[in-house]
Amino acid sequence: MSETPTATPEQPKQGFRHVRLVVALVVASLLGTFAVYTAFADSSIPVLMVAQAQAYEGQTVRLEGKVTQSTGDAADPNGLRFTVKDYKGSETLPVIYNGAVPDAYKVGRDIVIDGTLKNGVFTAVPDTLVTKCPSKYTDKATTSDTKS
Amino acid sequence: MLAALILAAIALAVVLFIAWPLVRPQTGADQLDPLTEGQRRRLALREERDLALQAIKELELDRSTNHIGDQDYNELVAEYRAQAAKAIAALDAEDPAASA
Amino acid sequence: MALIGQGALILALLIAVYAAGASLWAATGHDRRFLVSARHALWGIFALVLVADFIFLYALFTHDFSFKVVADTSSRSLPTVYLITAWWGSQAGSLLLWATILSAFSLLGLRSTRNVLGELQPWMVMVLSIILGFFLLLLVVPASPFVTQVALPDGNGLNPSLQNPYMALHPPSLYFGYVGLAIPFSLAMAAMLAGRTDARWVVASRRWTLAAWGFLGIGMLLGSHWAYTEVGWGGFWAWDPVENAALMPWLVATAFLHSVMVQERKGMLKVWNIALIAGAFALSIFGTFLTRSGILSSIHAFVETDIGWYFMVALAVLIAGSFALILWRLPLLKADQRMESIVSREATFLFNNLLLVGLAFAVLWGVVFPLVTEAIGQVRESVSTPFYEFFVIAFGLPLLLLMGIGPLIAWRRASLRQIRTTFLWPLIGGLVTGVVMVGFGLDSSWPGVAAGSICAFVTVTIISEFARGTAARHRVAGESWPIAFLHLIDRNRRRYGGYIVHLGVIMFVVGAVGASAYQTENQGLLKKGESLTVGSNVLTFEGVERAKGPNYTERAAILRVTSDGEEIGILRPAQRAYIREQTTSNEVAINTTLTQGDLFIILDGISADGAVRIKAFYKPVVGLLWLAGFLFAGGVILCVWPDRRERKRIAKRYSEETLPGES
Repeated sequence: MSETPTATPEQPKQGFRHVRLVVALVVASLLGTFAVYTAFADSSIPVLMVAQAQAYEGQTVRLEGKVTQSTGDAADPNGLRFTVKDYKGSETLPVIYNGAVPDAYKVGRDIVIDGTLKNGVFTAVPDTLVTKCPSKYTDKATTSDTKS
Repeated sequence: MLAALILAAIALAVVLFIAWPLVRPQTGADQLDPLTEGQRRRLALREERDLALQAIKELELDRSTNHIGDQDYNELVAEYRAQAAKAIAALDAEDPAASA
Repeated sequence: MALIGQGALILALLIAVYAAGASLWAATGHDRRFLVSARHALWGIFALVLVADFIFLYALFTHDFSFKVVADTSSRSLPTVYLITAWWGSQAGSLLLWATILSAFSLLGLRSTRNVLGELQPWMVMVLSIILGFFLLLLVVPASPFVTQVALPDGNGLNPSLQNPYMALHPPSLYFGYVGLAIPFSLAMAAMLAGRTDARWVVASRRWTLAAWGFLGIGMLLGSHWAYTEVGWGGFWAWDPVENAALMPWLVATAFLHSVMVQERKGMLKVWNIALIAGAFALSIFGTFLTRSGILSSIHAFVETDIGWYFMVALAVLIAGSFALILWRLPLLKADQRMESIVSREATFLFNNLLLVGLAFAVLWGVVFPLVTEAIGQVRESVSTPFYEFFVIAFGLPLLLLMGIGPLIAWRRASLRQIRTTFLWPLIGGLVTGVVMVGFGLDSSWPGVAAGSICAFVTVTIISEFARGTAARHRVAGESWPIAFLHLIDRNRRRYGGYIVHLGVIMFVVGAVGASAYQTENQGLLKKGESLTVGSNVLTFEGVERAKGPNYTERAAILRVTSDGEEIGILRPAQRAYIREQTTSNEVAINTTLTQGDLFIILDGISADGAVRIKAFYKPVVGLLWLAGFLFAGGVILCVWPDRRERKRIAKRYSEETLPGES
């Protein structure tokens, strides 16, 4: 069947060109939307380790690391205060956080949190604390629970 | 030791099962023939016939639910009828039994 | 014990290699005995994998902590039911499940398509054997479930988020979807290897694609429901890479399901369809790779694990192989016909495809963005919800619109006069809905109003499709109305099953819009006797209650809920502390009313003086999200259900040249 074009006799050539043009326009506009959005919308955020964070003072960044000390909790009026340490380095950073604390949060857990570094203190954006799976492998079911 | 024995037994059973078709006594032709030119042609014709008949059925449904106007319907159905008839005629010419 | 399991997997791997070779020999040397032997080999692999499964599960259920995986994912106090979910709680266990499903599907796939396959069969066996071989290799070398250690007194326990009934259904459902895509993929590759690029592989694979796609959809929905009711951050979809991993192949498979109809009808888009199914399967492998390789946390974590490299190589082979095959067979993949008009059913399918693939690409870009930026610069950049939401709106709304337009436009070409009559009522329905929504003050979110109007447009279209079809049967065949309705659906299952799926999608969209665009939220620290207001509901905190479960302790906040002065009841959001696992988990409280929507309460914490931090959401019509799943599943089942008439027709078409002596 594939080898033998068995189409109805007269193909309207005009119509076909028309279709091709419209398809090309649609593809172009999809790509255009994509390019414009990624170029102009401020859609991404740097993900940093503690050691890198100093260079981004005053900017909103996403911080990754391990929780070493923690006082207070979500119900505390002063918020949750904890210290984040690099996975492999020794640099630490104090964090002040208000908002939901995910299920898996505890000292020793790897976390990700958004916020701004100012005068040596990382003030977190509320409700951005996310824990990462402690194992080397990201477990299917556990990553989605880390959203808070 | 027991584990090794169990494993060996399982392995033996599976290997025998897989090897059986290769070693059993001949039961008819072992050639896996590729399609002949004629078979391919007839297959293509049958697909073409089914495609056209299916299209006619769809058009009838479209017509009865008013998705398509009388003029378009008549034109298209005529085309597909011709296409199906051509395929059926060609099949009949090839082998009257196969197109039945 | 571990020795038998490990041995069975090694043997299965060797047999998979043999099966690939034997089927290749059968395909090129035309020796039927090797084909039969290769099929026996697939049965052998299945049996051996079952042996491995049995030993693995036996170790799990008997708490044999000399198995490393068992010790890592279970404990003596773990309730028996969750020993099952512990199967896929580990990397090795979930890969074992993959291999089990794949070997079962391979046999089923071959059996269900045997009347159609003919000379495609040896090639299909070969492709399936190679895929099976890959997963068995993973199970033998980098991710063995049978690694032993000195037996521990007790295991580390299972992650609490897996200790949940949903985890008994959600991961297997996704795996059925991921693995199910291997069948249409293997058929497509077989068609090209055999040089048979006619409709045969499409006919043979249709039900498999649909079923796999259905499982992916239901799996994702179960996952969302789990996230909503159990994880408890107040949403149902977080654009987490793991969720996206399932969404991408689903989107591409959706495109495939539509474009394949164009190939069946008109012999067009052949290359595109093969590329789509290869893409969908590659994305399903990529999804498994994402969740299994650790690449998500960082490229460095990925480099440290070797399983990532296996997947990288497999993906590269898969993509390069499909690409090379398509190029090789390009002369055979010429279209039989051309597109005649942009106002035709096939054109709407084409646009739907472009949008779906575009959306899948946007999601993919979001997933790999951190990896790309880390590889190029030194700093990883990440995108989050607004990025995805933009594309869901930009590409999703037109897609939704096409769902209403497609059914109204005839194949090949539609005339303007016809369009005017068919579009009248759906358009009115959409416009009226838009006006009403604005009138009710829902114009706070323009995408919400747009989505609502389009949903009404599509709904009226679909209802009118059912109505007109029934009326036509009633008129033409003289059947009574109910009989005409049932016959209409029965005789055109694909079409009307598809419409039912579409209705499910519409319901889903309405629920999702209600839950995201129109939700209200409030939070606060409550002392005993204090209240919090959300929507029309007032929550009054009455105290903390403690309880003890089998392997956790629980603290619940007692909240009395009233709405407009009317008593609704007591809600008790809680926090559980799992002793062995040393983690806490939130148990949200949800009050569902069908007409009103959900009141969703999270207990964020309990302070030393007994005050509680409460977060509450009011989400209108969110229940439709979950009800949509039933329509979706119902529609898919209707499309997949065996059809005797169709089977007869196909058997007649292909009977002459199926292999002699096949059974």
